[in-house]
Amino acid sequence: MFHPLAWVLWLLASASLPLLIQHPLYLLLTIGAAWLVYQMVRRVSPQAALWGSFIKLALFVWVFTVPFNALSVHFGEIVLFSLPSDWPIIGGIITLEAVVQGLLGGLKLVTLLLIFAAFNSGADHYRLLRLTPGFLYQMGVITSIAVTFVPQMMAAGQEIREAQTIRGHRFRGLRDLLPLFVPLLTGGLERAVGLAESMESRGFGGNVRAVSYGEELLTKLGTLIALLLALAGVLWYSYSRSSVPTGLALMGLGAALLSGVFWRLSSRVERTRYRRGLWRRRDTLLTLSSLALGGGLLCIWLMQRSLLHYSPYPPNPLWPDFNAGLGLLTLLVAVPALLLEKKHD
Amino acid sequence: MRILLFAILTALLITAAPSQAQSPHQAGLVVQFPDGHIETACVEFSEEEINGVDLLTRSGLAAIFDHSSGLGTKVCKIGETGCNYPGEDCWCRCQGSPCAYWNYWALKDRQWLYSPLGASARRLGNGDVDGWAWGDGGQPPSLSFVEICGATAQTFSSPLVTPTIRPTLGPQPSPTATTTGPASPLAQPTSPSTPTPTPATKIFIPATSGKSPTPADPAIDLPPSPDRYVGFAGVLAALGLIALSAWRRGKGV
Repeated sequence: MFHPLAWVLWLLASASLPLLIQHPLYLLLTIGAAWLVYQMVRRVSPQAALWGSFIKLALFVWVFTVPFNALSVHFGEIVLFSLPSDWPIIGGIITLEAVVQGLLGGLKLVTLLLIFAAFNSGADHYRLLRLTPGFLYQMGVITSIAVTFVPQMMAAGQEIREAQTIRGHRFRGLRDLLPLFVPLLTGGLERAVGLAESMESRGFGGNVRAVSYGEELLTKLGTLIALLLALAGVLWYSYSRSSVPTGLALMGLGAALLSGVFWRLSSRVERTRYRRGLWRRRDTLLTLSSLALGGGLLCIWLMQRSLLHYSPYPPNPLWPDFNAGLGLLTLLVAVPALLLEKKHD
Repeated sequence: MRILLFAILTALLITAAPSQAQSPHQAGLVVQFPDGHIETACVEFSEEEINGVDLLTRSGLAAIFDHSSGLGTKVCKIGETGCNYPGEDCWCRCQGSPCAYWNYWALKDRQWLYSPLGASARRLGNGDVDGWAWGDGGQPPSLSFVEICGATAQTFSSPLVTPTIRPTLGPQPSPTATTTGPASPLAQPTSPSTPTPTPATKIFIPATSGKSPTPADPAIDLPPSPDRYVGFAGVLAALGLIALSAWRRGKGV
């Protein structure tokens, strides 16, 4: 697998695609690329299989996005049918354009979920946890519990399902799912608490060096002042056009002060490490391709945003435009599939 | 259960069949541009009621909408004024303190009221008038329905009524606030001072037949040429090649 840092960079660059792009063709290409990565990760990672059912679940987003959009937006030229107009909210014409927009919204969510599934099935969460900066140790513990909750729950779900089937229980309708859900929920919570305790005992709770009262007060005061400065900067920036530089300067000052406070906090946490993560050539390649993807997307977003946007409603044409350059850029999502090690590496 | 559902659906479809209205209805539209130029339009429709977005679309004025929220339609641009929505934010001129956007007004008893509803939620019947004014709380000039739609006038180019200058008593609206309540009567006398008597253009739209915009001719909606999807096919093929090589790499142990 990849070094966690390179892998996180890939996640950031890839996830920015469905967040910034609202265009079916590029999203479809991204889905194809992410699917390929997921399939390749699956061959080397044992935890990937658990995400299969998660992806199937993700397809259900269309059950919500399409009817919601079709019933609430009554605009467009291709009318499918119409509901009486005196019905509140849902009354009016139901158009193909609104359905298309609903499909597009769902497509964005599916793309995002698929990218996260690929990331999670290839990520080593414990190595990721080690990357969190010292002062965030509490947050690191919480995040690791949150991140491992779903895959563990899926494994448990499979086990409970098998156990209940052996006992002669058959899952046919919604009502039969109760014997599955109750042990699943309690088991999942139990597992998470167990994980937290074991991590605490292994020192992930962080051994915080005791400090004097004065220093404690200083860091607290510093955090407060830094946050207030940043807030003042944001307000200044957004409410008066004339003094943009002042706002930016205030924000910068706040950020600098905050990072100083964080640096001091980090130096208090004592953490030793006895195994360093390996940084291989493929990590460098993945980092470069992720930077190219993110940078290219940012450039297009800043300079020609309309390229990323598609709207089915008139006067825009229903058929989307396509830019081959941007299409090729989205293919960079698939780079990990080409770099992954062979099965028994 | 399923039979019931089916019955409800059929009932829906039957009631939803286009109800032919007896006589065309009319609604007026006044648009106040920032340069003082005013456009009015009288739109005929056969439905009982249409919404504000329909009125604006059918008036023939070029307008850009943002339907993406699902909670209502935003008006980004009318004519040449406003924001080119997919390229920039729909309310691109309202990011800070000088906030300009298309204010939406409804005429009630010869008075403009800042509409408490969005354009897609407001229902206009026969004789209703909608107003749009660019700026921050400025009102369109006060015109009555008769002045806009007239009795018979098809073309109409005499200088329109000079908008009377009177202090607005209405609330100072902001694009987020739906209703600001009966706000202070101290509100400074806003806008309609600028509009000099400009000849207003009168656009008369003949009634569209039957239900709203007729379903588009499928022939128009076909992609103009398949050329632009050649690129897509090419990129797809490239993705296929990547998949193939990744597959072979994975197997090649």
